Formats: sequence, structure tokens, C-alpha cells
Amino acid sequence: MIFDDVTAVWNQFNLTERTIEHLWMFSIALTISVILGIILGIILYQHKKYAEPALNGLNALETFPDMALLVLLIPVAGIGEVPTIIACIIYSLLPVTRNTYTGLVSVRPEILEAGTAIGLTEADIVRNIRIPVSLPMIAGGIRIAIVFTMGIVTLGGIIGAGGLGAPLQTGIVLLLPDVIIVTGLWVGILAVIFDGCAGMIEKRLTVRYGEW
Amino acid sequence: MTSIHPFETIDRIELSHLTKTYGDVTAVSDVSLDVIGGELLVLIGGSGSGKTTTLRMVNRLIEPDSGIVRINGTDIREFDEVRLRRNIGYVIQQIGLFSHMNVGDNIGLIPKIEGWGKEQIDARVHELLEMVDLPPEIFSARYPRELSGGQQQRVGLARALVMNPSLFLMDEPFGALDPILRKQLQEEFLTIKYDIGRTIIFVTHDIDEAFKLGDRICIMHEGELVQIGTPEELIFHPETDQVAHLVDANRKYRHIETFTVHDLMSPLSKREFYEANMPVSEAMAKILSDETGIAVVMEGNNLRGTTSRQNIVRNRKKNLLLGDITTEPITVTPEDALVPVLQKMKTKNASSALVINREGEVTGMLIPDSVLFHII
Repeated sequence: MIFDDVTAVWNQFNLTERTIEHLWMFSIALTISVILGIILGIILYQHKKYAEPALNGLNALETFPDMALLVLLIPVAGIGEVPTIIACIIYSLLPVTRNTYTGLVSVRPEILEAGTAIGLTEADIVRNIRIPVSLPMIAGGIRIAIVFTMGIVTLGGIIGAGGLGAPLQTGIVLLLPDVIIVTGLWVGILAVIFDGCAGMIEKRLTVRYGEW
Repeated sequence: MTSIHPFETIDRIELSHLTKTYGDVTAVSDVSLDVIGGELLVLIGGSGSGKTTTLRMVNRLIEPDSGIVRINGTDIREFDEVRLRRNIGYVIQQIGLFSHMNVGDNIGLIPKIEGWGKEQIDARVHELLEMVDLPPEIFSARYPRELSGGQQQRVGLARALVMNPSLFLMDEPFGALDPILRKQLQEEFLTIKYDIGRTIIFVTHDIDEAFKLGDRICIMHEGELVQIGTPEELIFHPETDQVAHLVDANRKYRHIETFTVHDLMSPLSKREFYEANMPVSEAMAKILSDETGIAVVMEGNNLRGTTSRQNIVRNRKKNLLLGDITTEPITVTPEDALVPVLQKMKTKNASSALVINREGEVTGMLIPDSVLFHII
């Protein structure tokens, strides 16, 4: 029976524990990249001349193969969770930063002018107009970051980071199709759930704060 | 930083020798004029005439290359620009409501930043929404995208009024609205104007609007001031052919004696009819979505009278029927000669008349151009 097979694999490879590890790494990596990304986006907004080179730099990092990045991080950060989280952040920073920056700069000019004309200061405008209006866009960036982070945390299994990548790696090395299918599907389901939730939040923000 | 109110009332605004160029283009060229406290001065001209640029130099959205704007004798560059703008109401065609904030928050934003308490803000928002005839209990929590163009413009007006400014700058505030609604908002604006008694500088390209609203009219062309004066002065003593052309005194109305009501009336559809036994509260829902603003109230097939949106909104909490709040309109027939009708309307200070045909059916409304009132 399929259910029994799944349970057997689940128990044999401690998938509950692995899932917790996995989500723990995922949360830390995502939290850090979101905070860093938003801060960086705001800094780039305040210093627009650095925006293009910085975003191009992040773009270049993005094109680097993730597997190679993990390997390159070994001499710097060793193996395990730390380099995995670092890699996640490197990849997720771009979408969050880029969307924050783009959101802040692309508020409709007539709205900004109305703000100036009724007597808002530059800081009032950032706080009361630019940031709220950017929220849907920032949420979109976070949503991309969620997908990236999920993928790279799984890849971390190669360099001993634990999480769901570990049983997957074992399955690949020892040619255990059951394990590959069960773990792979589970990672997929998790990604779909998170992406779905993020999508819902993004949609709500768009309805609430979006332009019409 | 200067005091909260850089000026309490406006005695005089002097624009002296204002010039502004953008590259090779001269937007405003040596414009000097005085705005007298309490008046509504209209700046009128075609596109590129410099009217908007001139207006925007008054709240320092644009700094002139040379020349000075003084309010009550003080160079406005001596005021903190944020303080200055919070004391000048600014209403534009694009309205510029913040789409992510509801109506109440849009109106209450500056008070909130100024540190008012929540109750004080709510009370002010309430008061202003009443003033622009948007029932606060319905509209305060709505978002701009849920409002019609006319309703958005009312909210824009309420937002501009929030800090109780003594000066208003308005840039084609009714320009994007359809003609009937525009006329109606102009009417309402006139009553608000008298209520608040503020100094207003108003930009438009519509001569009819200028004549209707302006105490004085300043005609601009290609960055220069052509003539400034009262509507009568412009009609009867145009200084240039251009002014004469703009006020159209020679052409459009030369044959006015031959016109009948039928030539100028706007047809009315049955949709705009209301039953006299309809409760006022119910009528409000209908007229808020209707946008025409004038309700023709019928008792069966007989005319009971007319009533305005303003009247309906203000009476919404009283337990009345629509028939209780109607007034008797001026009624005319399509065949009536226009000039006597206009004279009658002018003496009764009515902006519209109801057109009833020989069979006794209400067929239309007569809402004449304001220019007409000035020349008859």
C-alpha cells in the first residue's frame, strides 16, 4: 500500500525532524534576506547613483550557478548550515532589493506632486506614500525570494546542511527511488504552500495599496 | 521654522515681474498682477499660456527665474515652503488622491502629521465631508477607486480645506468632468466659496467657467498677461482682438434675439425623475449614483417640483419624503424666446429652468452659459 510505503520512508529517514531543520534554515535565510533586501532597497533609493551598479552586481551574482556557489563557499564558510544560509541570502537579496527600489521610485508622479503640494516633506512622502504604495511590489519580491530560498536550502543537503536535502542526497547517491520521490514531492508541496500563501498576501496588498 | 500659520487672512498677493523659462521656451514672461483678498481671480488662456506655471509659483511648486511673489507684503521665499503649502489649499484636475488611503485618511493626513488627536481629526473629516455633500457615514471609509470622478473631486476639495487655508489655488478642478456634472459642481463650489470667504486663484481654459466663477479674470497668452478685469470689462471693453475673440462677444451671441429655449436646452431622461412619495434617505442613494444632481420630482404624471442633491443630502437624517423638500422651479416651454427667459432667471438668481412642452411633459432643462447672463 502506498500510504505504508510513504510512512516507512518518512520514519526511516526522520522526515519530521528533517522538515523542522529545513524550515528553520529557510526561515532564518528568508528573514535575513527580506530585512537586508528592504534596507538595501531604501538605501539605494536614497542614493540613486549607486542603484544601477548595485543592482547589476546582484544580478551578476544571480547568474552564478547555485551548486558552484555552494562549493565556492566551502573554503570561506565551511560546510553545513552557515554556507547554505549565506547562499540563500545571496540569491534572495536581488528580488527583494530590486522590487523595493523599483516600488519606491515608480510611484506615479502626480501622486507625489499632490503630496508635495499639500505640504508633505520628503520624509513624510516616503513614509506615507512611497512605502505603502510599494508594499505589493515588495511582497512580489519576497515571493520570488521564497522560491529561491526553498530550492537552495534543499541543495544544501550536498554540503551537509541537513534539512530535506539530506535524505534527497542519500536517495540520489544510493539510488533509492522511493526516498527521492517522497522527499522530492514533499519539498515541492512545501514550496507550493509557501508560494501560495505569499501569493495571497501579495494579492491582498495589491487590492489594499495598489494603484487602480 | 515660522509659526503654524504664516498668514491668517489674505489682504493682497502681489505677483511682480515673474519670469520663468525652460531652456529656450519662455513659460511666463514678466507677469505682474495683484490678487485682492477675498476675490476669486481666474487665470485663463490656452495651453502654453503660462497660467498653470504662474499659479504654481504662488505655492513654490515652481520657483521663478526672476520676480517676486509677496503675500501681505512678505516675500514668500521667507516662509518655510512646507508651512506655506499647508496653508494654501491646492486642487488640481488630476485630483491626486492617495489611492492606498481611504477618504478619511486622505483628508486627515496633514492634520495627523501636524499631531492632531484622532477625535479631532475625525470631527474635522466629518465636518468637511458634510460640507461637500458626501455623507461621512458612507464615504469616510471608502477608497478613491470606489468613487466616481465627481465624488473624487469633492474629496479633493475637502482635503484642500482641511487646514482651513486662507488661500486656494485651483487648476482646472472641474476639467475632467462631464459638462452637466461640471456645471453642477461649479454651482456648489460657488456656495462653498461664499461660505468660506477665501481668496482663490483659479486656472481654467473654459471661458464659460471663468465668467461663472470669476470676480476678475486675467487673460494670458504665450506667457504674457493680455488683460485683467471684471467679466463686464472684458466683454464690453476688450483691449485686443484676441480678448474679443475669446469672450466671443461679437460672434456667438449676435443672433441671440432669434434663439428659443429649444435651441439651448439639454434633454432630460426619465431616469432623472423621482417619485414624490420616495423617502429622502432612499432618494439619496439614487442621486449619489446619478451624478446629475438635480432631481425632478413627480407626483404620478404631474410635476411636484425639483430639488438638488445638496438639499437631499442635508435632509437625509430627517424623516421626510422627497415631496416635502421640493421647490418650485422656473418652468418654460421649448417655444419661449430665450432672452426674456434668461432675464427672468437672472432676476430670480436661478441657474436652471425646467422645460415643459405643450402636452405638459417635462422634456428638458435649460442650464445656460454664464456668459449669456452677463450680456443680456
